[in-house]
Amino acid sequence: MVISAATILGRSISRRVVASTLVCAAPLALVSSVSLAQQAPPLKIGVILPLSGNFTPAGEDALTGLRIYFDQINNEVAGRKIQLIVEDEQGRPDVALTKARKLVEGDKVQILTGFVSSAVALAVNDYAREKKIPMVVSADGGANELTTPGPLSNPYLVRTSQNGRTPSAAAAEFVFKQGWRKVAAITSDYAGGFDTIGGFAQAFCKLGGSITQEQYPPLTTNDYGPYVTNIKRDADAVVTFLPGANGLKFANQFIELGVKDKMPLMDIFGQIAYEPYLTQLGANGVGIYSVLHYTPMIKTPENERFVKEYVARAKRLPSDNGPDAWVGAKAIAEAAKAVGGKVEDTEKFLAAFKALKFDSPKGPIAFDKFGQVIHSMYIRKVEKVGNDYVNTPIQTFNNVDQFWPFSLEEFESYKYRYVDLKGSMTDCKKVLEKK
Amino acid sequence: MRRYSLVILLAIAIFAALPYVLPTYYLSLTTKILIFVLFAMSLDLLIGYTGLASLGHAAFFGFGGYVVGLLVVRGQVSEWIALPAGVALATALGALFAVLALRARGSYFLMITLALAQVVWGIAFGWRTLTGGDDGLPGVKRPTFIVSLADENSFYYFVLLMVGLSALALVAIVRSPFGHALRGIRESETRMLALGFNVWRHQFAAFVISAAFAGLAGCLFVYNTRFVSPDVLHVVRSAEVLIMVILGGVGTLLGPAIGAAVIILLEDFVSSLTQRWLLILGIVYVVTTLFAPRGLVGLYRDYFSRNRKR
Repeated sequence: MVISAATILGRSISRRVVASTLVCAAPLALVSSVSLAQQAPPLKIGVILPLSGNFTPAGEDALTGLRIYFDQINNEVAGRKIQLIVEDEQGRPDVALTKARKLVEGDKVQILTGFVSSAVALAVNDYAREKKIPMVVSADGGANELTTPGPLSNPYLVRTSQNGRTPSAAAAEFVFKQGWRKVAAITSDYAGGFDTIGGFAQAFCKLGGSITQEQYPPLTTNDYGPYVTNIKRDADAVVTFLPGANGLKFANQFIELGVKDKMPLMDIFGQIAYEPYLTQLGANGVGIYSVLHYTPMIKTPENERFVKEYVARAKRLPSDNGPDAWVGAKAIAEAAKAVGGKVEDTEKFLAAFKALKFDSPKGPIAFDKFGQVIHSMYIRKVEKVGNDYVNTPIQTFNNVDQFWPFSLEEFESYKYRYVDLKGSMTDCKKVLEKK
Repeated sequence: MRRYSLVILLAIAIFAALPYVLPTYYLSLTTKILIFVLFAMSLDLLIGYTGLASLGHAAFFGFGGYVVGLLVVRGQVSEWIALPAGVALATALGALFAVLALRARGSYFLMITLALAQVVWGIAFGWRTLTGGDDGLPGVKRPTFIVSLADENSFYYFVLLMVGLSALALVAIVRSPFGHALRGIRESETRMLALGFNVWRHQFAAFVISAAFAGLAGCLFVYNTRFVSPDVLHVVRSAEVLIMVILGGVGTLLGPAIGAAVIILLEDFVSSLTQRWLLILGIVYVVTTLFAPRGLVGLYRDYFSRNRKR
């Protein structure tokens, strides 16, 4: 205990104290090292999350998850107090950049974490790379480019949340296994939509299936009736990615017009089967499939403890941002412990971070060499348990890395980026064209 | 006049000394403030001096920024071309919008400018292969104009120079006969018509000049953040700069500058202190409208003229 505390404190122990530790009896040394432990400079963590504007629920989820872990370890790691400085980025990239500058240059934080919107993560990415500040993306910010080799890759960035394409790949595996070979895709007309459906198309074409129809309603669509009636009836299933309230609007009309009884629905990222919506959908929602790297119904001690604590704090079930931020917090703490509290040695800290392996509410966690988390993907089905409607996991893909089911080499050999595929997702030849 | 030149010299000395006094974060915040000072002043030329309230000024700000971002990131074009091109194209967009918007007045003008700005925003948001959509375009490098402006200090001086020169130009414009004619138009279009002024041409010129300075501010903004996303074109951005102008004092040039500084500083400090910062900002706006309807500069002038009377 004494030895470990002394090594952790490292250089901050003055020569006099070292001498006295050697001379004095063990209990005295323990007392002196404990009092020194409190004097060690705090570990300052800058948290950049949207706490006002459109992304507020995701930001609050992440903040709750982060706090649950740090409170669990009494906001202290390796003899250093953890000091969280929370900044609201309003979902706006330039505000986030100003806040990042304030945190790094004004408050002198050692680590930046949070990041819900991809645009915000991309805006801060350049700055963090330049300042060599570890950037732990631990909420929705899922831009694939952040952790793949290319002009945006940042050696100081690690991510404990999903990247954009893996849930799609898992959805493709599941859909194909069910024997559904032809699917109709509907996704919102924006960046995230093309990435998600593009990821699905790539994995699905590789398996031998095909998208027979693609529809792109704008993010501001209120009436999904025309899109629902337009769905080709010869498709075996409908695949959607409709973020935010769009999911619920679509689902209501999908159910009302009776299409749900005829065709299975696969909801990538669980935007329709989002826990707060399940009560609204009620019995009509039963049977909707979705895929995500988390569901509150995972039956592990880690998750049951987490869900209990989360419900006590937030009075609702956690979404994926809660556990993602929890993993981010735990990984920061564990990596800090591994380097004896010296997070200022950025290279060592990040190396320790990427070497971590532990169990979390969302399953076993590891990291790849690019700093992207390797975790599990859950196929979930809406079911009624007691009086509640929940997402029961029906299939789990373990050890899903960011290129899964491809290797990095194969992933990079494809010619088209997902965004270029809008309008030609139905053409598997183009989707799978190599460089 | 001597008093003014003394104040100006003092201001120059203070601004020039800031990099030696301020910590780097506050210096970068000052750079951001200066850029918004220029943006707010450009809008004030339109609102305060010409009497045309626009709710789409972010279109020129963001368009200038996007031109720089696209030329630098996608085109690898030299900054000697990118920056002038940004300003020039924003000016051209201003001319186009002026032709369309100047057919209407009052709230209809407000709605047309808003609608046109939304079109530009929609294009930036939707044309993903070119603009990167809502993920934006990262990786805009700071320019090198003879010396490298990559570090905060030299970039600050560059922005200071640009904003200073623009401010001088704006002051010269509003004091010129042209500026007086604009004020005449603001007060009464029909009377100016009767006096033989070509009202439309004056308004057109004011609109285009205003767009040019907004475009310059946008280019500087993108160089500052080294990143451009549809957020620079968003209607919230237009509203924000409108609030800066109104809070500081419409029709004074100094007012919008102060308004920009106050709002950015308030946002920065208050949002770090509490999560309920929007509430506090809201209260500040309400209090200003109630007790200083002519803005902070108006409040100051009222106070002084009252004291003088005593």
